[in-house]
Amino acid sequence: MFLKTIDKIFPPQPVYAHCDIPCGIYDPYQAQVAAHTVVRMVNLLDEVNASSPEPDFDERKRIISRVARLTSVKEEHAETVKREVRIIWGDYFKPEHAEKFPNLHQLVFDIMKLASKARQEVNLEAAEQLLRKVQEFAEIFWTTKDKEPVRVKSTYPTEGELVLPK
Amino acid sequence: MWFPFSRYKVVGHSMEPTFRDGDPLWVNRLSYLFSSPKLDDIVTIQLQGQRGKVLLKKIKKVTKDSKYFVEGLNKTDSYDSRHFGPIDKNKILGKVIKKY
Repeated sequence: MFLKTIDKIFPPQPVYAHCDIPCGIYDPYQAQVAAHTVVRMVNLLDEVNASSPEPDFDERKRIISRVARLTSVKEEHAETVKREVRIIWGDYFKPEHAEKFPNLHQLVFDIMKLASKARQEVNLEAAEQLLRKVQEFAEIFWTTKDKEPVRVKSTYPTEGELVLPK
Repeated sequence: MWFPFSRYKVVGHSMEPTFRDGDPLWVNRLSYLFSSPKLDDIVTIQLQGQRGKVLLKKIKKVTKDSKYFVEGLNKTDSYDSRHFGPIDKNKILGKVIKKY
């Protein structure tokens, strides 16, 4: 009673029983959505066409604007893939996970490289490969959480899959 | 003013079920003045890069070079020596002596 009164007057300082911010909130969902977006942007970029080899000025402006917007979103989401994967890899995964999944570090390295390639180029093969690697990463993540990973068909125009816990 | 005993309040879940979020604690800051931390001691530590935050951990192992491997009790929700490696004795602020 006495100490509780003291606590009210002079609050005790906090001692943290967690990391920098409360951890335990990790999910590879966002990385997958971003990878799907990269694929979608490449598809849309591939669909950009001019009506003739020498389109007029207004059409050129429209094409340039469209390509700029699609490229900007592709860049942004490829970077999101890198950020989300890096956070899970750096903050969530522990040495015992890497022992259990010896390809984990190589997989993350591949994702980083493929995301950069997807940013640099309009390359559907690289974008799709990036998505596959991110799905593989998500499967490892959910397995380490003792959740059986399942592949669910997405409702996205890419018609690809999402890896979710069962 | 410096006191040999400090009061703390637990924030977070990495030490559950022994220490729950909100539990008040006494910490003896002189416990390791003339002795060394022992296995299973619950200690407060302070590391660089944590913006001065004091962390609550358990001594799990003493390494050959007299460093201390600390872990949270709730391993799935703990940032500890599995991430930042064993720590030196001077990072240990004191020993938890009592919940009140």
